Amino acid sequence: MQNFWVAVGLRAVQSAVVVWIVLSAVFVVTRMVGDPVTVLAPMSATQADIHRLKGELGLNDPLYEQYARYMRDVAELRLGTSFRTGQPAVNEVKVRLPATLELSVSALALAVLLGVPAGVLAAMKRGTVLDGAARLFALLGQAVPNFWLGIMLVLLFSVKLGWLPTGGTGGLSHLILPAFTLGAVSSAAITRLTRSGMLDVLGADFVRTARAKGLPERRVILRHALRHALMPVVTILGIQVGLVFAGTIVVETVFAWPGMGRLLIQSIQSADYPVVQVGVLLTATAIVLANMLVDLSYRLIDPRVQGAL
Amino acid sequence: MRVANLQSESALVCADAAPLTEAELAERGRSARMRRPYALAVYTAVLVLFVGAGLFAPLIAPYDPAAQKLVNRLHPPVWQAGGAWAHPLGTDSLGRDELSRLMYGARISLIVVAVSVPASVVLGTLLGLLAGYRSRTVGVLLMRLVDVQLALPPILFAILLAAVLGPSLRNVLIVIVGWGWVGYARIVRGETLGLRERDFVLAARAVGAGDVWIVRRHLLPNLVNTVTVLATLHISTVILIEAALSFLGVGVPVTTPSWGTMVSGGNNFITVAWWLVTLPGLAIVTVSLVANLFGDWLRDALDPRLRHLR
Repeated sequence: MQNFWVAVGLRAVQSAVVVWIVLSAVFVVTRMVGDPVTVLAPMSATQADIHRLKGELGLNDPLYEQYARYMRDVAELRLGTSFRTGQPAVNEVKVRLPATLELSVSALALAVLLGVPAGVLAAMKRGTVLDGAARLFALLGQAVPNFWLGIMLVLLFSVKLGWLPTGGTGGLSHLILPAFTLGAVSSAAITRLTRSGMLDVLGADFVRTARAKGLPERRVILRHALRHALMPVVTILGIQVGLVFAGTIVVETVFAWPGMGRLLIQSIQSADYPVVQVGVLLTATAIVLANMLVDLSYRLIDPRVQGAL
Repeated sequence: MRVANLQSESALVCADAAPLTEAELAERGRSARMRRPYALAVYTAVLVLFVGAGLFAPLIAPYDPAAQKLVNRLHPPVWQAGGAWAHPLGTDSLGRDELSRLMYGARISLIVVAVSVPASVVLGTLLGLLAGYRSRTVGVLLMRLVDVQLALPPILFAILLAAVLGPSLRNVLIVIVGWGWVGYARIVRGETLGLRERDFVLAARAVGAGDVWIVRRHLLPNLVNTVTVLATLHISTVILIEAALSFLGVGVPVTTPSWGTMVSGGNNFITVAWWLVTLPGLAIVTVSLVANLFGDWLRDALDPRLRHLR
């Protein structure tokens, strides 16, 4: 057990390094690429304003000073004011975070709830139409762009059939399409991996033993085989979280879902740069954190996993 | 002791190269003889169509993709009521011909693929070789970069770049190459670490062969198969990323006819003109899918374990 806590510590340090690199990358891109003043000043600024801002923002100082100040600002969460609303940029993002979380978590849950049974069924009924359908689904999931899938679903279920609303929040019917769109790609990957994991496991000795003992087939599958088949799925869960977070940017735009992703795009379009910066930083940090958690939980599930270089 | 970073271990291998498990390999072996030979012909035909449309768009497109004719706006495709052969795939909200725009969109996708995939391959392979064969420091740095790459999805980085520099094709290329090379480097490094200990490499070193010679004659030929398969699968990803970035408005400028911008432009009219969104999307799906399937086929073809079944 002690090993585990050492692992937590090491992984935390690793994640911190990654976040630091991301922060530095954002700094580099904003200060050193292009003209930082046009980016950091509101569009309505006059020449005199810009000149003043240059001094205030310390853009005439040597880079390492700017960097130190930037790091300190980030640590104290002093990340600027939105040009559009005048509110602190952090608040703008914080307000929208729950909506994005609601969408992401629903999407991931949906992906697992759809993908795992589909994969299991496909493995058990290998060679049949069901298997073929599942494999087709898995294949298409990799090739279909999520924004197009979302629009097609809206076309079908909202415009042509009128069953579901086209966007916005407000209850389960508003959540279904966005969550499904967001989770579809992950669902396809999970189906594929569950299926192949099951196929791998079903030929194993311990499964034959369980069957020889006379256990009902369902018990064999669920209690013995499934746990092993799910290993590769847990491994990719971390990547899926990253993909889902990245996907919220697109899906929220398509469905007008009031979350962080949509804010990011709106802020780009309205040149509200401080909000863009905060949004990017927060999303990246969230992804790093999620990866870390999944990695650590994987060690808990499979004690055989050792630290490797 | 370094904790296994399982996410990065499986990261791009899953997103890009989707490793086959034992079960899937066995399945493929069994069905190899039953595999329909026309599958490859279909893939090649689609890819040739894509490349042809992209390459020759300025020569064979029936209309200028930017030519607006408001009188002709929102004509449906030829197989629907109100359609005509003058505009076989219909027109958009400004009267521009869909077919021509689709061809020019193929051109954009083609440019992105033709530039970013080779660039990623070259950069990634070089650095991966360096990390695997010579420098442990580079190797460690590389693994850190893999972590960063996981944390910063291309969309995020593209948004950042677009905020600072404005949307452009150049930004798309920078983002895709900057994100993509790491995947190759990671896998090349892994394979090089293994190849380094093989007998033929040790023998070459024993007779005094220099590093460049070993890389050229022994390492690269053994890496070609893996890298080729990766590249083919990468094509599929690249097309999807470019489309997503353009759709969001952080890729190519909205005025450029790319499949992504066509979808975002048509989104406002889906109630009256379904073809504006459906057709470009189908193009994206088709090319991406075929590239994927082609990569799968290539992997099967190059896999020595299955060779005896030919």
